[in-house]
Amino acid sequence: MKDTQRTELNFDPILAFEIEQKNGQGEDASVCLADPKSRAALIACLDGCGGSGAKKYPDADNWTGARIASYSCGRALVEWYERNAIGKLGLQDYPAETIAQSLAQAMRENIDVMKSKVSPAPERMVVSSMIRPFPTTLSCALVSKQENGLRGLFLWAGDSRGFVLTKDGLTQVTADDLKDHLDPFDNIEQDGVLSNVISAKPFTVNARDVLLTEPCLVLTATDGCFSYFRTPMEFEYTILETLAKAKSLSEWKSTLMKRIGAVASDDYTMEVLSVGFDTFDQLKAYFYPTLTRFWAAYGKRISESRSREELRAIWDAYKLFYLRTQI
Amino acid sequence: MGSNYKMSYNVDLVFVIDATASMDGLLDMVKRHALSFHGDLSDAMAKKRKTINQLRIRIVAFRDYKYDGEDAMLTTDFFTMPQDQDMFERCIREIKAVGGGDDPEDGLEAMAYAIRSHWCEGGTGVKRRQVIVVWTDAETHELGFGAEEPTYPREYMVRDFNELTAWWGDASQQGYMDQNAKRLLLYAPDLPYWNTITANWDNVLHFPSEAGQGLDEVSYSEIIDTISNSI
Repeated sequence: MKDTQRTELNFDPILAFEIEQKNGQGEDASVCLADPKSRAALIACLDGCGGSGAKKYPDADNWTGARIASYSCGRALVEWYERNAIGKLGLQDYPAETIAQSLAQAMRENIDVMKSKVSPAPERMVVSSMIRPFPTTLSCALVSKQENGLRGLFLWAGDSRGFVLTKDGLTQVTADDLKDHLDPFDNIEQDGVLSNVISAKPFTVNARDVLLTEPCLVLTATDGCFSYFRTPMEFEYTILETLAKAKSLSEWKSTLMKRIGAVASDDYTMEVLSVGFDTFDQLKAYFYPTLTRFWAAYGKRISESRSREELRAIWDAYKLFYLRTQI
Repeated sequence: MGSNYKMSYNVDLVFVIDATASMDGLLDMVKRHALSFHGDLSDAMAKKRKTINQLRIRIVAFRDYKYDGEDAMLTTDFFTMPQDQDMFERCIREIKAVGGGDDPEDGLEAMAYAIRSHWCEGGTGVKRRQVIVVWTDAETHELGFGAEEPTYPREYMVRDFNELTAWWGDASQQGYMDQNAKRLLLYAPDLPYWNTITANWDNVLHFPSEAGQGLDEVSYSEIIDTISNSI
């Protein structure tokens, strides 16, 4: 971040972490392509699905299919972005669906290459509809300059999420691909089965366009970041509270990682792009009123001494903004 | 948020073991596998920093209602680990490979008992895993094959395979188990109805073999990781 004043909504990659629970065996990956001089930027988080992609591949240093998928799809995402010169040209007027289909095709081609390159260990066959070859989630946010602001295009498959944090609060832009359509509150405890992820089986890439006209943070994250808090509210609270207490960007990153790491039972990965801020102090001051409104609405200790029913009532109010359809 | 908060898991395992005479050469292997399975699953979850709040194991040993009368189905309540470890181990060790009559066994009736176990509740801050593991070397009879026998549980039992499938449930209709938490692991030959279950039920892992014979370390690791992680 610089100290100069700008009138347009500039973007800046300000925070990123990728934490694995088993050293050298993590199944998360992330991508950040955000040169502030470009017309566009991309951040993405990918989460190889350890349950359905547990098969190991000796040709690939004994990596699981899940780990191969997240890392190779991350690389394929970079190649797709560069091949289409998105940084230079921006998203232009291409419809979201067209871009999603183009990205899905790039992911399919990458998975096909992986399939041809590596063979699974020659063990006896385990038969299961749960098993998918090379499965990974993807949550990708593309931000592109245009005349009336910034176009934010969220592309995803699975339950990794994309968010926008404005002064009014956090909004989950993506919708988890779950078999029984659990909402984010119920999914925390019910651990829904994924209905759609990038893999060698048929899949789709979902798309949602938003127009960013005010300063905000654009986030992508794997489920390790948000699925182990008791409620979705606590994910937002943790972001805002650690930001308010931090004296610098690096301190914010460090405390946010620690707070998420204290609850996470999975790898956890996050990428954050700031939009419309020039300095950390400016960013911090901008979101402090958001935190105080949060305190006023939900208190400082949301889950403490509250039953599941009471938390559900809070969630019912909270989700009106968190899951809003108009951004 | 409370500083000591950590999401944890309630894990229920039901071990369904074929205890007929044809298992004689395999039963010691199955017992060793059954005795170590929960430890291996716990270790795999711990490596991902998944904390187990409660681990319980129940045993269903099955034979054949037509030939084995009162010894056709032996079921226990859940043993809570580690408090009931000794009782669980004793119970596993006491299973004897006897009876069974013809080749197929009443494995589907055993599945019915397993599916209708008194599964743990979730609760605030607790995720669940409900896992049935089957070890057998034989195909199954049709449901109700031994229904004429006085010991057959006619009041309790499903009428046919379709009803058993409904007890298992699917995305459109929940059965007796939690749709997201349930897993079924079959160490069973590629024979009816085990292969029918594999082809038609969700959340099933099938290692086609006689009671897991030939299971190598790599496949076992894949199985444990598939069960311990989200899908």
